Amino acid sequence: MKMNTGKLLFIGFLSLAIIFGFTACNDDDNNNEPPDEFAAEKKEIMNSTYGAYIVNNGYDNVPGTLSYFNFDTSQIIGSVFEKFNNGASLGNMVQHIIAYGTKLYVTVEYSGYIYVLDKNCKVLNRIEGDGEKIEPKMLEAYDGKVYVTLYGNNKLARIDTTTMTIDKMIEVGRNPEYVKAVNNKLYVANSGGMEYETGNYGTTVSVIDPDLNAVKKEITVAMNPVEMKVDKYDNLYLISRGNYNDVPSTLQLIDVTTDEVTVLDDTGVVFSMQPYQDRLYIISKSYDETRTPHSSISYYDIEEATMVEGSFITDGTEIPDIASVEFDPVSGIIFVTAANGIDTGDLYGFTNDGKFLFKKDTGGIFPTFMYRVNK
Amino acid sequence: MRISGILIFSWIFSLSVFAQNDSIPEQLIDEIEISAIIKPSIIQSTVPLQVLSSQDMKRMGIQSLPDAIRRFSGVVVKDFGGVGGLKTVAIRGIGSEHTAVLYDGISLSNAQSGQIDLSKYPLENIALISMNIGQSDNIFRTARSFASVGVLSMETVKPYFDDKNYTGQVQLKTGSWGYFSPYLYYGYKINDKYSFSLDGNWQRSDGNFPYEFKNGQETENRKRHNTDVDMWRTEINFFGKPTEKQDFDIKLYYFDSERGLPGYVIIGDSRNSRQRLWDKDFFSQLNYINKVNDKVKLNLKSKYSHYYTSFKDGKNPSSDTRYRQDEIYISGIMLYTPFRDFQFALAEDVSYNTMTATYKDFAHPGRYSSWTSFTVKYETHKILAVANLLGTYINENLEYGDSPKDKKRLSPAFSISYKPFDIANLHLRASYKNVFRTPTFNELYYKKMGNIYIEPEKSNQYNIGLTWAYYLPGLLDYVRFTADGYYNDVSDKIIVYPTTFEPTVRNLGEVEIKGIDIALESRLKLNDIIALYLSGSYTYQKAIDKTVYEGNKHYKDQIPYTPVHSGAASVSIENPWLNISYSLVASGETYNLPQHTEANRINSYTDHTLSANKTFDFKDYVFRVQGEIINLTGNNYEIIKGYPMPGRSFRLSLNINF
Repeated sequence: MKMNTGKLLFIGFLSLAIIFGFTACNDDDNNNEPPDEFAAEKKEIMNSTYGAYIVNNGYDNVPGTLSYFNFDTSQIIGSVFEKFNNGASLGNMVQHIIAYGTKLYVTVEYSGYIYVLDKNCKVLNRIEGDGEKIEPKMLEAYDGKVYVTLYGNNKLARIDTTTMTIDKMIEVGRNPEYVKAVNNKLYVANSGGMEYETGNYGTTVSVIDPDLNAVKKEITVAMNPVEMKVDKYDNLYLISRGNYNDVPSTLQLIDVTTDEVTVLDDTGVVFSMQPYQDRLYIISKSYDETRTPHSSISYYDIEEATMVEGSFITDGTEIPDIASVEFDPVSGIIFVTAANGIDTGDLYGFTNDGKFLFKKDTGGIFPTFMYRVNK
Repeated sequence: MRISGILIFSWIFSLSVFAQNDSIPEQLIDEIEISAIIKPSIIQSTVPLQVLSSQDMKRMGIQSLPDAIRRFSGVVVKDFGGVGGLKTVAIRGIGSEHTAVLYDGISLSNAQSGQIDLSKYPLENIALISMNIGQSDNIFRTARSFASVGVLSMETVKPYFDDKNYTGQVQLKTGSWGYFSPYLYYGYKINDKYSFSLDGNWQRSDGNFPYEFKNGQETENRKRHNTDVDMWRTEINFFGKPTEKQDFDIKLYYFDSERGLPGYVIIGDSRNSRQRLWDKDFFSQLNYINKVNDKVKLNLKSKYSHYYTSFKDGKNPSSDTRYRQDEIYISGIMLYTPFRDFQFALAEDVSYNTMTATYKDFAHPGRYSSWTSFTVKYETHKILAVANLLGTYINENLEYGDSPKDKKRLSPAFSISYKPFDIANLHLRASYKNVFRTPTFNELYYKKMGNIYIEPEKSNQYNIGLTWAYYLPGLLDYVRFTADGYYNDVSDKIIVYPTTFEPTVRNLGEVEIKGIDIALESRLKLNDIIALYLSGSYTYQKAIDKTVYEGNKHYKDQIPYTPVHSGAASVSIENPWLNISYSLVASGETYNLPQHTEANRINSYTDHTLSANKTFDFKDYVFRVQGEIINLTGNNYEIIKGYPMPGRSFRLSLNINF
């Protein structure tokens, strides 16, 4: 076939004009080369002897992260795990962190990982379910061992801190959340939280010996037991979240000698808690009529055994979605982590009498925990 | 090549130009197949209009409806990957709930989510898809179709009978990962006044494609799980023309599917999702046109639709939620042409929607909607102008809980196209449209998250553009160029706001969108038997969050899933031996959440398709064999974060027309 040069040129020109725009859009393969750019931040974390890790849960398909708050500099360094592990992410839905001995323990619920890390977040071991969906949730250290609830397969597991592996497991109730060790017993809150559609939540706390030989007792508590905390007098507090509908959240006190349960508050205002000195700080959440979220912190006076009305924050600082409260006994600063919808969260600092000190970006979505670490 | 119908190519140029150029070039009518659909005029349109016929789509090797639409400029198709992944379309930075989808002229509706899942509409029986941004110049349409930012319209194949009283088509398609899709079409002419068609297709796929999963420096070779799809669609259409002045058609439609929802990929767990979804959709629709006289034309449309959805979480044995939606819809339209240049259209639509769900305390809403639209059109050789006023009234009543307040609104729209020179086929255009969307049933009533106090989401669209077409005998069959610049704003955006407590629906968002859409299309004749098609489009879209509230960390960030730069291109060579086509879709980086952090970033991508086809006659049959290689580079890119797209795959189809 014949084609004249004019035609060819014209076609060539048109083709070029069309294709040209697209050559600019090149594929970006995003090779995660060892990020040397983080050398300074890594050094700062390694040199810091006192700080706190903040757990950013992550959201949906965005993996969770750990941020480090350096008490010396009052600065936050985000994505610490990634920086010490060649850019790898922890996984989806980072739940909890504790420090015990020379190590950190971190649970990642959806990914099914329990990480054993050094105190700078370098991986020492990663414990995975043996083909099972374990969904590790909350951690507790006691007597040389670390205990972890496995939400996905209704078990409490024990981690040997030297071999860094699970050495024993015991069946507990449905979808266990918090585990707490007190008075040489382990308490596990059986939430039954997977039954959110039917509302068939759990109503028991299992009492187990630390050797995990047997469930010694099942205590009946209010519907959907989730959070447990222990104050300095070894009082064990439990929040049952109810059914998010007509059954309200309930604050309870469990007597750790008799295992009797006393209801402290069942007005539905208690969402989360943190004991410090003679107070049990209470986080409450609500929506106004335009569905704008509001949250506040009040407290339960442990010595007086009364709920104290009014906000702990005295200067009128408004925080829509408080996630947790933590305390620094050294500086006296009271920390509040707060979520901002699906934007990265904030860390607030307050004085002991509730005056605003600072606000910093946590570098991750849903900062729900802060855990102090001595290195 | 056999000529079995008349495809009118006049859309390429407006008719007036052809009048000037005397006659339609012979070769343009040459590769005509079954289609009695008239493509609308892109050049003269007062608003951006993009069209793909089934021939275009076959030529380019387009796989599915969403694959076709993502080649349009100014749109974003969200695609959760694979045959069964949810696919929705959003126009120019305004959420997908604002896009109306018409199926043979009548809206598909989903009052529950407000979005139409395009993966449910296979291309097999689609003759033409078109998308107009803003109001359409075709004013003889339902009031409801004016109640959206833009309209995606699907026209199904109409039977065409030449010398026989029947027509038919059989198609078999197969491809990678267990893809198999047979299609059958049969049309029968009862007499000169009445005919009917029956068609159906089945589509199944395992979809368990491999992908590389990277976390830091670790690379895992994984496969997608729970990706199987099984879909059935069948239709009966009845066409009648009882008198010269009257026309009607009746459609019965049934769709049935089961699919796995693979969920987003998770670090450490490649089989995380066991969610299953079942859909059963039925609708029947009637369309009746009466040309009363030279001045008055009437159209009555009605529809009953019934959607049933069942969802199982899989993780939790007791999870089984069922939803049912019903809708009755009637539309009456009158077109009045008092003088040569003026047309008036008055349309009144009413619908009643109900929804039930099996979970406790569901509101069981009933929604009464009324749309009234009045349109004026002025058309001369030089000017085409359309003005529209739409009134909407919505009232809801609930079986359980408090009802939201009634919604009443007037929405104006105006558009104009001007041809400045008699000799050049150049048009300048400008348009404005103000419209809103009603909150969906999910947004109002979904469990504790729903919020009956939310306000409708409002939008303003401004567009200016030019279109140009050129014809050069000998070399250029045609070249068509369109360029538009636009400004949109969205206020009271309805979002789901998650908290550490429980998520809620809020009116929290202002978006400002500025963009440019450019498209070029051409057909060149290399010699008497070889033709070259070229097309390219480019979209620049700056869609910025302008929401003002304390602690907003994404202020002035580009909104999620909206690339600043994107585009598509294709080259096809048609010849007597083997037709070959190469096409490309490209998108710049996006973010999956409003805030631009490294963790939220999604990489840019390009997706290349290579397609070849051959048509030949054997006795009374026309055979067509087509093969495609999709996503040539095999890159498991992501459109939605955590939902990798299939890598390189193959499709082969055999089609027989009789």
